[in-house]
Amino acid sequence: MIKAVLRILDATKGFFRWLGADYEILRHIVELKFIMQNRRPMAAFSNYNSRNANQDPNNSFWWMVGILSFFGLFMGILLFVVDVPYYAYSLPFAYIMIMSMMTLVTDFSTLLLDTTDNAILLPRPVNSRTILLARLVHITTYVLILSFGIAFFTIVFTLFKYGIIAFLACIISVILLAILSVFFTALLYILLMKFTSEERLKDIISYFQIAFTMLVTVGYQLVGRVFDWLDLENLQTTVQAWHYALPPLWMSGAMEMAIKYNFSFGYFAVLAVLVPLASLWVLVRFLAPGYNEKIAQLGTGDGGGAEKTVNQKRHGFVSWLASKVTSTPLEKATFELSWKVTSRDRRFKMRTYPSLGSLIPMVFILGKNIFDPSEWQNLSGGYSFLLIAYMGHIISATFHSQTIFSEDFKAAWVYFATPNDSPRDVVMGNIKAVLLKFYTPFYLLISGFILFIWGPKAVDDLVLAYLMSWCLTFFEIISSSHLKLPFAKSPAEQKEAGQSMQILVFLLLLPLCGFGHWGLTFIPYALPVACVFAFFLARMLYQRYDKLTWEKFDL
Amino acid sequence: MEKQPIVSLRGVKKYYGRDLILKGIDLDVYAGEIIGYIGPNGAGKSTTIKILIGMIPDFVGEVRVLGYDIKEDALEVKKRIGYIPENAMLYEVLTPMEYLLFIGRLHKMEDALIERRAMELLEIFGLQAHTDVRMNTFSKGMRQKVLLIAGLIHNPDVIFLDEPLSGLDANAVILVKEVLAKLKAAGKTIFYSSHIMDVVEKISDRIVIINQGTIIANGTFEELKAQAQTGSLESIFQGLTGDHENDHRAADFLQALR
Repeated sequence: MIKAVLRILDATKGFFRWLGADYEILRHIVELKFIMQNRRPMAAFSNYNSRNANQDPNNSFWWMVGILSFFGLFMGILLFVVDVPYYAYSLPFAYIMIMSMMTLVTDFSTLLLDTTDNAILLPRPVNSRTILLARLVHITTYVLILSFGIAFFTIVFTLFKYGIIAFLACIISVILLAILSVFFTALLYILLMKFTSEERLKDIISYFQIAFTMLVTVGYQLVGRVFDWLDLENLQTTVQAWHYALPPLWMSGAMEMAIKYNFSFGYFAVLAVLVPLASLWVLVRFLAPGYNEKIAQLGTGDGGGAEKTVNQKRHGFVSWLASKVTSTPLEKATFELSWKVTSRDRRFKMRTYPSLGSLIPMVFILGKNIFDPSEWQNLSGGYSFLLIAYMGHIISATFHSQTIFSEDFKAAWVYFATPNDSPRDVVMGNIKAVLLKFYTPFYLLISGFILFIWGPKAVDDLVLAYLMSWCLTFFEIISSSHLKLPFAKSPAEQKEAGQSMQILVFLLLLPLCGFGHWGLTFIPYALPVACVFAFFLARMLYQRYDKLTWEKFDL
Repeated sequence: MEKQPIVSLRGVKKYYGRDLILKGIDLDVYAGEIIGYIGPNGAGKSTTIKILIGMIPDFVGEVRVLGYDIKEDALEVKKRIGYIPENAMLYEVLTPMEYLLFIGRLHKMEDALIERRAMELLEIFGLQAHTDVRMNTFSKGMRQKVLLIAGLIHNPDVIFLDEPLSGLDANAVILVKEVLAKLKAAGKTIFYSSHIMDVVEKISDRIVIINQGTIIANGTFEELKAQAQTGSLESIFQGLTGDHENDHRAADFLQALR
């Protein structure tokens, strides 16, 4: 495939020479970029292949195209279901655009902002125009391959259903979409670089990555439901004014025209062709040179560079809180460590927040009615809120199991080099940090929502559920056969690590508590009594940690 | 007879934003010399080297390397020089052979020649077993060796080294020193930057000391030592060679632990 791309490049050799590039070198750079692209693990899909994270990825790019085109298949099927091309195409086209922009932002950030390029290429006899063109060629091919990967089934189905003219129109539309995506992404990057520093930019990008991974997880749960939402019987091709603001709709409008010869969509077709071409011109003429200059500045400076040092306050809210909730210096130390690492380590966030994304579809599946205000009246009679309250426990469990892992796992030698005889403090400090930092705020949030709908009678239920969640967390950790120290394991071991206790709690104890709680609601005054019991249960479990010994640890 | 300098800087100034990093550098380097370019961290050493190799084009003043004006003919200069950067920047998903092939191709060398040289040089540095292993597993020293090879593979006339010994083990340090001596014997010019005097004093013909963007001394190690006895050079020189002052510091250190 790389060879095919290079063949095509070879055919246009003259064009690049005419643009002022050294073609031989350009070819070498592009070839190398593709090799490296293929070996880099894709951030967006790290969830899917973390099992073999130890192996060096070899074809990660093609894997990604494969997965995306599989999603694209469902979008393509829409063509057979919806008979109005204007709507049928809007979804796959929007999908192509969002996906290629998101992948550009996420997986490409490493390449777009790669300052290694400067350190390696600039001292060599290569002129800057060649580097710029090599970058552009690489990005364009990348986006085109990606877009056609996603659109593959849509294009094939178009050929089947609407014939050759629509087929060609569809291919052209995909190319135009790809150009638009590159343009918007470049615009985004330039804006970001104008207003933020390099370090900050990396942070922002990692938030994009988190959002993207969530989107993918949620996205493929939702694809199946799209058909429920569409009112297939009464589809009307009415064009609203705001449709003109959405580029994918220009393309699908153009498709409508190409298939049904409905020339009232002519405006769309004009937009679909003119805007991408104009943006391409702006990109090459104005944006790309400035962009490259910016990039060149990022890496070469060694004194007054863009890196901003962050001064952290030595005594803040965290250490105040830590001194309130912990009893020994070591426990306090772990509490603060855990609190700070989880908010500062970009890679921790990258691993953890996306896994929360998988909760969102659950909310959709379990509580469809929750988002419909007209249903609230019916809901407030029952106890379905218990479901949400107990699901909150998953948050604490997820975060806790992630705090075991860190890319800096080797730093855990300090636990062994320091004279600490009781592992209790280390484990407990971490648990407290997780429960207070992640679980409690989240729980307060859903409590607010629950109180809003169900009213003050839910207060005792909420207190009980909260206490039970603490109990479950304490129980889950102390009963697992191999205890682990915080931030002491390589993320590569994540899949092997036995989490049987967690599964037991999720599948057995959590529902048991939920149903037990529901049962108690039928007995008068049972809830306040249960709260007291739960409190003492939590205390008992908490004290069991005092007897913790190093033998139980999986070091 | 007056020799033409291989490298010459005239009134070179460089701003980063509003900070003046280089405050007017004048320096000549002649063919076959090894220059030790010494200064504490943040003195402007790396910036000078990056200007000399044409990585930073926007500076004030005049720089000529091998007779070419760096602002006009950066490409011609880059063809004839070798550069070994300090922080091991390389494409770590590649293998050493792939990386060296790529670098060689940028210099328009034949693949067969690159492969032969790469094989031999990797073997000399004891990396033959790692020729086809991806570099992400390499230690800092191993990467530094690959960078050294990458900087020299096109057999340049002038070689710029920016802290080339960082991360190397003792044997490799000795090897690099020997290699530098041999390169000098072969008529190459070497511009060597470091923040410690240690290795530099043994191999350099001439030592240039830079501090806060200005050259404060220029001569052989003996000359500098003599100057240091008397003038203002004393403290900076001691900082670089590590003589007296460290005694104080060590004592203070112990005090702080009290």
